[in-house]
Formats: sequence, C-alpha cells, structure tokens
Amino acid sequence: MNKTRIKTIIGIVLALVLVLLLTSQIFWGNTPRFHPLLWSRIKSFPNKVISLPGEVISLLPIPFKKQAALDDDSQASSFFGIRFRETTPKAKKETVSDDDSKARPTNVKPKEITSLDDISVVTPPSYVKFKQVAEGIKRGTDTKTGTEYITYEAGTELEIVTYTLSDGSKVSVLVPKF
Amino acid sequence: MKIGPFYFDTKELFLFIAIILLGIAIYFNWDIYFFDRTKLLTIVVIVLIAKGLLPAIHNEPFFILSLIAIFLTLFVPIFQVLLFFFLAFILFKLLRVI
Repeated sequence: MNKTRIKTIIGIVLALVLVLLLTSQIFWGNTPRFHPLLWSRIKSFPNKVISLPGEVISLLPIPFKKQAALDDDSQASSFFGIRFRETTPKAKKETVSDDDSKARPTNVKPKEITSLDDISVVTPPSYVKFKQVAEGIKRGTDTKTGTEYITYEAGTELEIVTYTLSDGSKVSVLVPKF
Repeated sequence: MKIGPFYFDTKELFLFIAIILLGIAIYFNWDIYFFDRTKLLTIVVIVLIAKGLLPAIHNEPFFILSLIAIFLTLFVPIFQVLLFFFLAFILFKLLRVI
C-alpha cells in the first residue's frame, strides 16, 4: 500500500470520527444552525482542562470513612502507606449574651411590605459605618445591638418583590431597579 | 468528450447519467432500495461539482471518498454526510493527498 492510500484512509477515518463526535456539540439538531450552548462550551473549555487532573484524582478509589467512624486513629484509611483522615470544619458556635438576645429577637416574622409606608424610617447611631451594596443603596450594622440599617439615596428606584417561602409564608423585599 | 468549451471525461459523463436517472426516479416516484433519492441526488450533484474543480490526477482518493459518502447516507443524516465530505477534503489537503 503506497503512502497516498494510507493518507487517504487516515483522512477519511479522521473526518468520520470528527463528524460523528463533534457535530452534535457544534450544530443544533443536524442543521447548519450553531448549538445555543456552543459559546458557553468554548468559554468553559479551559476551566474543564484545568480541573481535569482533580477529577481524575477524585475518581481514584480512596476509601474515605465518615468522621464519626474516624474518631479512633486506627480506623483512618490508608493509601500506599499514606494515612488519610476526613475532616470537616466545625461549625462556629455563637455565644449569645442576654443583651444580644434582646437586640435580635428570633421569633419575629418579616412583615409583608405592600408600600413604602410600611418601612420604618429611623436615624442610625453616628458610629454605624455604611458600605455600598448596590447603586444608591448602603448597608450598615450596629456592632453593639446587631441592628442592620439600610439607606436609600434620593432618586433610587425600588420595587417590591414578594417571594413565597417553602413554609407558605410570604416575604417582601425591596429590590433596586436596574 | 468535448461539449462547447468544456471537456468531459467518462467519470463526469457517468455522474451526469446518474443525475438524470435519479431525476427520473424522483419524477416517477421509483423506489431505490434503502437509499433516499433526494439525498443521493444532493450527494451526486456535489460530487460532480467537486470533480469539476479537481485535476484528474486526484481521481482515486476522490472517488473513494465519494463512494463512502454515498454509503454513509444510509446510516447518518445528510447534514453530517456533507460535513464529512468537506472535512475529508480539508484533511486531504492538509495531508497533501490532493
């Protein structure tokens, strides 16, 4: 078999493999229209390549055990002589003083907002520092009482959005219009 | 065979005959076992155009590719067959087959 025939076969096989593998990724339903997810696929391709070693490592059959079973060191798993222990970050315990519990009542349901008149307007203490969280909106927390204050600059357009939570209760929030 | 300013070799004449036969089959609604007549006609017309653009020295890889493309119409959609045809041409050029 001469060189040209070998190259012909290689070309045909390569073209066939490329078409069968890539057409559904690039084109939409065997039409000349591009797939709607093509651009996002191209953009996420470098991230996929970078995360590939991590995915391969995660597929290795390392027998991790649950934290409860690992209290005893003898139950820690080993892999080629390396001992593994699964650790989970412990939740930070909050210490609530009497003053804090007064400042932050826990059993208060959020009031449904139907108009801007429902929002109580107060003057925050002078030591409260505000940070901008959105255009025209600043948020500050009173470090002593834990009360949160939100300021809206004059001219900021807001809309009331009502969400229904999983327990059926409704919560209304003010959302800036963009 | 010389028709006007154009010279046609036997392969091109056979392609012309194939196009005429396929046109008759479509017109009279004749069945061609397993093959879709319109798909075949599309492929044959594209093969004829490609053949006209290629020098005769590259006939062998070209006709192997054409036959495979015709048989692929049995298994994959026509869009993929056409893509395969053009992609194979690009690969032939890159591999210096043509």
